[in-house]
This record gives sequence, structure tokens and C-alpha cells, in this order.
Amino acid sequence: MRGGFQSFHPIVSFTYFLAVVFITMFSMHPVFLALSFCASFAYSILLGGRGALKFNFFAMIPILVFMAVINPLFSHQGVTVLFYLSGNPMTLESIVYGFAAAAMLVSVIVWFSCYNRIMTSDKFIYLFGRVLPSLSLVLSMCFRFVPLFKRQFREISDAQKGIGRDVSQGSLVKRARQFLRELSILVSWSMENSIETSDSMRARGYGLRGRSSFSIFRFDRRDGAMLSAILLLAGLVLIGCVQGENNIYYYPAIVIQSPTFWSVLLYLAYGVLLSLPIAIDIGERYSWKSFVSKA
Amino acid sequence: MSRRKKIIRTSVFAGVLLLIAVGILLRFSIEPANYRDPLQKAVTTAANLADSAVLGNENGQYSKLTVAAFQKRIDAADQLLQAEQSAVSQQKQQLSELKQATEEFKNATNQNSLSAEELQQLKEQETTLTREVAVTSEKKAVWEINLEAVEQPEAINFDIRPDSANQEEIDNLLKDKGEEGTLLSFRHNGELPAYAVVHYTYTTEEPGAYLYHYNEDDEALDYVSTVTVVDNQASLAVNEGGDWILVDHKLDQENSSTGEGDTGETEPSNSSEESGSSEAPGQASSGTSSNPSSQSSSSSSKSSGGLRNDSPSSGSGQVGAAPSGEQNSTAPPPEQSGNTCTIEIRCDTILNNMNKLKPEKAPYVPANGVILSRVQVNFVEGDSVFDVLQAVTYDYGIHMDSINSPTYSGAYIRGIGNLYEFDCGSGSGWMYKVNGWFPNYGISNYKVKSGDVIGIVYTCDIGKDVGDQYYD
Repeated sequence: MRGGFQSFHPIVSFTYFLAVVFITMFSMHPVFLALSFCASFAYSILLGGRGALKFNFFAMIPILVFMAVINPLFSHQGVTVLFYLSGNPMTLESIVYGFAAAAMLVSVIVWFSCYNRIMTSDKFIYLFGRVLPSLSLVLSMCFRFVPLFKRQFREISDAQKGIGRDVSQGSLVKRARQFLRELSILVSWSMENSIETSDSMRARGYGLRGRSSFSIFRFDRRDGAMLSAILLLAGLVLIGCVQGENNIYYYPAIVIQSPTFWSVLLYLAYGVLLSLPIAIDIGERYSWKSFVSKA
Repeated sequence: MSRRKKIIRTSVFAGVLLLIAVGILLRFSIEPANYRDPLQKAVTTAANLADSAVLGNENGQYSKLTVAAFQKRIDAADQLLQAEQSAVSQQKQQLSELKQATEEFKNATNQNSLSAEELQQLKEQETTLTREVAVTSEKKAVWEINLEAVEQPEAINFDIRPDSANQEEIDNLLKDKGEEGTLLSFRHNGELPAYAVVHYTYTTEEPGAYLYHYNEDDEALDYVSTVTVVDNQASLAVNEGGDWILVDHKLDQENSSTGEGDTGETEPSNSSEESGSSEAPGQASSGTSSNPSSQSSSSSSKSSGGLRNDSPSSGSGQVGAAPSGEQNSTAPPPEQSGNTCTIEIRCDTILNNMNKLKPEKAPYVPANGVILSRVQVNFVEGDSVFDVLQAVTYDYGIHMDSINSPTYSGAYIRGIGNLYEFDCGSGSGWMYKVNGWFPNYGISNYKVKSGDVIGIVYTCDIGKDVGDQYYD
């Protein structure tokens, strides 16, 4: 889908993801976690549709459960002993902590999957190409490394199949040998490719002083408004975090501050911050539909 | 690859995975943190059962004394529940005993009764009623009732038991006088329709014996009559149910010579109900008189109420010594059996370093620095300090976190009572000492010897502040 949050200036999207991932990573407060978790799931599904839904429920939820189960096996802190497993106490606190930590991890992963959909490598290079030319190039190359490899491997495989060497046929040894052959082709290709890429970039004078860059991004009033809204909300939440509103002790006993007016305001601000892109995307779809029906 | 081959391969793989999973699961053992909830449930069930029991002398009804004994069992369990702190092993034991008592109580209705109608019929046919009942497995009692003396035929419960709900009080009363007696607990409720003569096997060197009746209201033994003993048969005349006691000497004579040849001594072995209820005071008296170390532990702050001070049922549960059934006043003091050592867990040093302590841990530091005051525990030959510590912390519901560390070729204690290493500065952690000495090897490697005094102490300065000489 074009438009929506994607169509904002890269600096807006980048600031947004930076703020969201940063706050998510540093708050173990259940309200913060729940907000971030729900928002990340909703946004990734909005962006990725069925594929994201599948990924979230068949990869992320199992991770969540697994970590909640595995944590009490290694951490025996906590005052509420539920039972003893081979002489070691299994505590409620460590289960809850495992769950919370897993929720945080999963949210961050899902936020990054959203980030990858919004912040394409051209946007990233646009943002950092001047400041950190080589690093931004390396980063953007890293990000496309795995997808590129997958695509190239499929190509090689198909080509091999075309000349009668199918990796899915024959005995185990034969298939293994064919797989290794394809892998070696892939590796040599990738080496060649990297040299080619660097040559090509050098030929175009990438990173040289005074080099202008083509940009399709324009920072307009809408971006300004959005950026200031993000900065305001994120700043508010960060101030609250510094004041300790998102503090929680999981060990030895779960200690949590009772909500005050200020903390509820903070939750609201965080909720608004998290749901900004969702609201924009959905609002845009709705307005598009309403235009269509009028015509 | 063919489809069938694939299915076979997948199922074999799944089977192997399943086997591994089961193998791992079997290596784990799951124990509940405590038995409070099941015990509470059992107490409620038992109390309901006791409340709904119909008292009476007919068959199928309950004798007052049977219910009282059961009630005492329930009260003991309830007391343990109400206690602020109780040992898990004791809860477990109480639970199993209570469950057993409940099952027994269900079948403990009167079996040996004669209803009023039957008595009336008998009265019309015969002049005397003779009934033989088994008191213990060896001893029998024979009832004789002159039916002509029966004016108002009423149901009679012929049951006689060697144990009673009041056994504990009676034993104490007899002990005060330095006497031993034979308890015959008549399960009949209230007065008998007529005087009954009961013949009971009774051996004595004295010319006769004295019969006492236990008065529940005054908690005293009322002298009733002398009893003639002919051919090892004592014949006692009774007119009501309840606890009757045969004593060789008259009690107010203050005769200190113990009744020799008194084979009718109360036998605690066949009465799990009674022995359980008499456990606590019996244990206390024997403990204070014979064992000064147990006294010191009982005077310390931790062990209150139903807590075990020197109970032998401590330890990892592998300590099989002395189930409470033996802990009658006549049983030997439990300290004599098995290997015992003492253990205490302290964190005094934190009190001097409160500024270094993590703030969230402050509520978990006891005001006097004692996490577990010195207790005596039993252990099995070959147990390490770690085994003892693990058993005692489980028993007292104290949190303990250990990992298996190759550095110490065994367990390494990370935290006790939610106080962890490094919670009070970078040099803080748990250490163990035995008889004042800090072994320079892991806690799993010291094999406990009988009489060892184990201290588990928290140091804030890599052992220097608790007396480890290693760094001197």
C-alpha cells in the first residue's frame, strides 16, 4: 500500500521507530508492555496482512510461551513458591518475569518487522548517506543480505534443475552433494557480487564530498506536524520513565506502583504514540473509501 | 521419497523425541511447596464428618469417645494450619495421618451393640447376659450383666478399647503419681441400664487392684472401688461408659514403686488417632527433660506453636526415623535414633551494611539477621551439607536457589530467603561453616558427621566479616 505512514518523510518514520523501540526495550511495566505488544501486532498485521498474521501467531506466540516456561527453570528468585522441581523452587515471579521479558522481546521483534517494511533501504541511505556513507551502505546491504541470498539460491537451484541436477532427487549422498554444489555456486556468486557492488558504487562516486543525491522525499508541513507530535509524546513518556513511572520490581516480589493521575496520563500518551501509524493508515483508507463512494 | 516412507520416518522421529521428553520429565521430581491447601481440605472434610456423626449406643451410631478422639486429631491438624509457620514434613505427615484417621473413622461405628429391643427379648428369656469382646488382639473382656436388675432396657455398646481420646490426660495424671495403669475405654455413652461386671485378663503381684474412673469435667481420676484379681482375672463392676483405669496401687498413697508385671500397659501401636494427638506434649516433656540442645532451639524465636524443634521427621524425607506413632510419653526420646546435626542460617552481616544492600531486598532481611535459628535435623549417612540445607529449607518453606557449578563440583548457593549473592556489595554471598571452620571447597563435598554444627552465613566481604581465615 502506498500512502499512509509510509509516505511520511524518512526522518519522521525513523524517529518514530527509534522512540518506540527504545521505550519498549527499557520498560518492563506491564501496562507499557501490553500497549506496545498490542500496537506492534496490530500494526504489523495492518502492514503485512496474512503473512504477518501467520508470523505473529506461529512464530512469536510460541516464543512467548516458551520463554515464560523456560525462565523459571533457570531463575528461582521470588517469594511465591508454587512447587519444587527437583529440589529447586519454581516461583510465580519468575514465570511472570519470563512472560514479561518475552513480551518485550516479541514486541521489539515485531516492531522491527514493521520498521523493515516502512524504512526501506533507500530511505535509510537517504537519511544517513551523507553522515555515515559507508556504514549506511553496509547496513542497507546487510538488511537485504538474507532475502537476496534466498532469491539467488532459488535462481541457482532452478538453473541446476534445468540441466537435470535436481536437489530433491536421488539418494541422500547424491542430494547432499548437489546441495553443496549449489551452495558453493552461491558463495562464489556473492563474492563476485560484492566486488561488483563496491566497484559500481565507487564508479558513481558514492560518499565523495560535494556529491548531491537524488531525493524523492520532501519535508512538508504534514511531516513537521507529525514529527513534532511524535517528539512531544515520546518526550512526555521518556520524562515519565525517568521519573520512574514505568518502574516495576519482579524480584523478589512483584512491586508495582499504584496508578496515579500522572501515570494514567502517561499510559494514554504512550498509547497514542503507539497507535499513531495505525490511526493514520486506517484513517487514510477510510477517507479514500469515502471519496470513492461520493464520486 | 514415497509417502509411506515419509510417514514412517516422521513417526520414528516423533517417537524418539517423545522418548527423550519422557526421559527428561522422569528425571525431574515435582513436590508441592507446602501441604496447606490439601490439609485444609482434609480438615474441612473431617470436621464435616465429625459433625454429622450420630452419637448413640446402637449399632451404626458413633460412640462419644470415638468422635472425641477423631475431633482431637482434627484439632491437631487445624492447630498446625493456624500456626504462623509449620514444617512442610509435619504438614505432610498430618495430612496422611488425618486422611487415614478419616478413613478409619468412617468404619468406626459401633459394631458390638445390643439394641433395647434385643435386650428386652433377652431379659424375658434369660437371667444373665454374657458377652465376650476383644480389647486388644490378645486380650479379651467378658461382660456379665444381671438382666433382672435391668429396669429400663436400653441399648448397650459393648465395645472396650485400650485407647481413648483422654489417654493423654490420664497418662499424665498417672505419671504424676508415679503409677502405671491399664486403660479400659468403654465406648458406651452414658449410664448402663444396670451394673455390669467385666472380667478382664490382668496380671499383678498385688492382692488386688484399684479401679478409677476418669472424670472428663474435672479432668481427674475418681476412685471407685477395689478390684479383686483371681487367676489373673480382674472383675470390675461398672455402671457407665467412659474411661476406666485399673491401677495396682491406690493413687493417694504416693507409692512410687512402679507396677511390675503390668503387661496390660497401654499399647500405642494400634491407635494412630491417639498417638497423634498426644504427640506434642509428650514430645515437649521428653525433650526438655532429656535434651538440653533441643531446649535451646525451642526457646529461640523461630520455632513456635506446632513447629518441630527436634522432631525426627526432618530432613529430605529419606529420614525414616520414628514416625509420630512412637512419640508417646512411653517412647524413648527421638534424639537417640539416627544421625543428627544442627544447622542455622544467618545474615547478620547485612545489618551492618544496609547502605550497600539493594533497596528492593531490604524487606527480606530479618531484623535480627536470623533466617533460620539453630535447629536439629536428622540426616542419612553420606549426606552433604547441601543435602541437609536443601531438606531443611524445603521443610521450613525457606526459599533457596542453587545452581550446579563445576567450579565447586556440586551445588553453589546463589540465594537463600531471596537474598542473593551480590545483593549487598560485590563481595557478598553465602558461605557455609562447619563447627566454626569454613571449608575451602564446595558445599556438596562436605559429608556431614553426626553432631556437626553447620552455619550458613551471608558475607558482605568475601568471608572476612564472618570469620573465614582464608584471607588472613
